Amino acid sequence: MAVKNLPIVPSGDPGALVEAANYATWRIFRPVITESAKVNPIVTLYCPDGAITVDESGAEVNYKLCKGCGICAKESEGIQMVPEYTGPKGVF
Amino acid sequence: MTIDFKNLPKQELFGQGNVGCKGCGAAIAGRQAMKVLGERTIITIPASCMATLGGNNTKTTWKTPFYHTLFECAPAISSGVRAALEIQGIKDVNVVSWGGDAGSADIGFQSLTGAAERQEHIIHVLYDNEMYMNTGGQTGSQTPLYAITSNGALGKKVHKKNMLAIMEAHGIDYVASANIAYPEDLMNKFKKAASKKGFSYIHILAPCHRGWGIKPEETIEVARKAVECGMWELFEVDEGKRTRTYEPSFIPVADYLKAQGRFKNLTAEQTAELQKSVNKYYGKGE
Repeated sequence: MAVKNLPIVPSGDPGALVEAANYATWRIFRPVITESAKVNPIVTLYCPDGAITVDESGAEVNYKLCKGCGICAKESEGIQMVPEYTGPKGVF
Repeated sequence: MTIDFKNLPKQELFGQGNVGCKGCGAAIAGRQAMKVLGERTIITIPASCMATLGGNNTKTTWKTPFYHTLFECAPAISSGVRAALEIQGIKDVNVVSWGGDAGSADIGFQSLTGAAERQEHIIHVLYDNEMYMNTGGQTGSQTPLYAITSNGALGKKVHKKNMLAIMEAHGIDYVASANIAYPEDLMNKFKKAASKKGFSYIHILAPCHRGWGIKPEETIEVARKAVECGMWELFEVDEGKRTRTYEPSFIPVADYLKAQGRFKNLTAEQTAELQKSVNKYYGKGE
């Protein structure tokens, strides 16, 4: 069989997971930037998911990528971990 | 810390949307390294957490070519990739094999030592989480003394194999140890390794919060403590010249060990013994 007649193997675009990612359900706590000026840019290298960006306009968290590990809040000032679920507790 | 954040590449070649655990040390190591290695990089990965982190089926987090090799032959495949590039006259590509501690120090050791002996023009990275974390945290040769693992409830009885000394003994161009808590140091070492014409070996300590018994947010903190207490030395051997790249502040080793669940059964005598051996290594008396 000629090569051109072979079936096409499904393949993904490089970085296809970035668009598809939604890690909101993984989170128990969510990082919230309280003081943008105080955020240490080193957290952009400490974040395992590349979810936080720090530039001239300030710091920003991409909540589609963030898994809520809390490294950024521990390593830098100006970031606070806020619980995702704030409803009634102790039902069970 | 004097990282030039303005000139740091904004592009995320690896890490965004990875399927690792939250607070994954391996993903942090990969992201920091890819900032330096850049787009013109080919990665080969043996079976490890890093292989699963990349995604599956048609979904991938890598934006560079990467090849999932068999467990024991990542450096051998990298050697082949380099040979193919050379024959085509392509010179600006970094070929990196990125193994875990099993894929480099245990199962993958024969191909690693072979590639090092041939002085292949590749970089081999060992990201060290000190256990076989991808299969559930079993004891390996990189597990430190007394650490509890999933198949060793009494703790490891023997020392960690000194991979850095083994690779140094190969007489390769560049050997370095790195740590995810010191990104500047890590990135400088990758920059140096990429400029070499022979084999480079970089050993990164990348804590795994599941195996080490720490909280996800403590990943960086514990990695930093490992360096500050002196149990993880940051150094490089650049064509035979050995330099320590970071002087630790020598906090007590108990601070590092007691922070981790895998050392919870450590007795006072064992801690004192480890402190003594660290002191002896740095020439600070008994």
